Amino acid sequence: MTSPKKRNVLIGGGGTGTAFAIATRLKAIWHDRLRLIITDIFDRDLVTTSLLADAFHKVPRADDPNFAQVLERILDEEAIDIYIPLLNAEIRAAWALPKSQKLDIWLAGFGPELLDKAVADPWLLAQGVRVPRQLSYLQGQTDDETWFVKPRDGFGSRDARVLTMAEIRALDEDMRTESIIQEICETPEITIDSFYDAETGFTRAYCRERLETKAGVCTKARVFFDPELAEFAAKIGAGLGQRGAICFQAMRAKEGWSVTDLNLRSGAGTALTVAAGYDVLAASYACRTGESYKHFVPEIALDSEFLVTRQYSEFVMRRRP
Amino acid sequence: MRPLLALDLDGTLITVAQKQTNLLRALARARGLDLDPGPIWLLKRDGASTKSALVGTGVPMDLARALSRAWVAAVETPYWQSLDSLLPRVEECLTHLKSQADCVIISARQNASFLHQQVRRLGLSDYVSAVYQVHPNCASVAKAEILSQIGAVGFIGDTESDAKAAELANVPFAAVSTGQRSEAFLRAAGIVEVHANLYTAINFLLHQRYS
Repeated sequence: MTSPKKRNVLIGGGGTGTAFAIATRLKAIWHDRLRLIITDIFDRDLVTTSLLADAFHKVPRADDPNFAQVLERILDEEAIDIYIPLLNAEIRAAWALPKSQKLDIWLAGFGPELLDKAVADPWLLAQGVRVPRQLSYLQGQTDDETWFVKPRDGFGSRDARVLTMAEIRALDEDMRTESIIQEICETPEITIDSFYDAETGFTRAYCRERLETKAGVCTKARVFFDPELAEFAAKIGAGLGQRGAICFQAMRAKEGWSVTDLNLRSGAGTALTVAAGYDVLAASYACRTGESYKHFVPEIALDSEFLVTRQYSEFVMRRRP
Repeated sequence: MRPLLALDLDGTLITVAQKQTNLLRALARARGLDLDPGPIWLLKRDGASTKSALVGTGVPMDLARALSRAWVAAVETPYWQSLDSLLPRVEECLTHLKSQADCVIISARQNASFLHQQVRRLGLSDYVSAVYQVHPNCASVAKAEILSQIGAVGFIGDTESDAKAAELANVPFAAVSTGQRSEAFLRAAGIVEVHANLYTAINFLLHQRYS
């Protein structure tokens, strides 16, 4: 019997928690059946994920004009079979790559335009998924009304804030154009780790409430199931033609659960869901390589919940002598 | 009363190579050494300690000693333990076992809390009625004591130390070659029942009880 082919897997954004979570699961399950290649803008010694890597490449920032050329060279030299882009700019660059039968890029059947929140919201509505009410005109609102303002191309709550209408009017025109203005939703914000296989319609959704966040990193979470959010996940998965895991955020708006953010990838916090026993990351790899995956993503009972805490781990990356 | 079978954890129900080799490679890399963990793992499967496997692949003794110490200190920490996963078809084997017998896990670990957490995370708690932790420094004797106390009808493990525990407790033993030790090493250690997978090891012990 011949052993199955060892796949060369490239993960971008190596320094992100998302990359570390994916690399950890791939190495845990497929160990010596894959070769892991990591890229990042920092030197290897500053990228924890590189500890799991069989090869590492320092690359320019994904929004640098030279990035695409460097990426294509790595894809070629390392004979990459699977490419997992994580940062928005990487996803855009990956989308622009010449199509190849040999290379599986972890992009669902959607274009990069959904990275723009101003495009994502109407798209979600078209799928039958509620989103917070968006403000298109600044007229007719009183100065002391408060609204939630976030960049159209943001991630991880970066630069998102609550502003009064007076403050919004005072923003410069460019800033206003590059932002969306939404109704303020009620906490808690729930992240949904959603697995979907567009080939079979198999779907699983795991909800994660952040109970504590330190410097943007979720350190305590509750993992549970919500049927309404699971329905949103299935609709999004079907609309995207999703094969694997993504995550999205939802909060309570005036009319009920509304999706406040759609990520076309898993998140760093997905590791919390994986720790609870729901391995959407391993399921993604299995699904895209034609292996069975259902055992990685069991159903979560309606009355089940998991409290998962998170502590930092230290890794010595270099010592001299 | 249903018979009770005892199972070792590491290498019997869950993988060991991922955690051990990736950690060793990471520790070596921090010291500027690019290790190929493949040959080291083969040496360990054939009975070598971490230190002697390193030396056996050309790592200087001082460095091998330092790496080995650092490896022992980190190997049971939560991150590296998260690389452990169920061996192929383990859930199927445990379902089969559960239809005929009860089972418990006996594991040699430094930290009982991390052990129980891991058993839960991997979904093994649904299959076993108890999880016993013994300290690695006295694994054979401590495992033997538990085997005697619980009245196990058999024990399945992946090391010569597990075989020794079964012998001390006078309990039938079946080894699996899916973990820390190779089939050749286990046989050379005098273990007769060496199985390539958990399924046949379970069947052997259950069949032996009824025959």
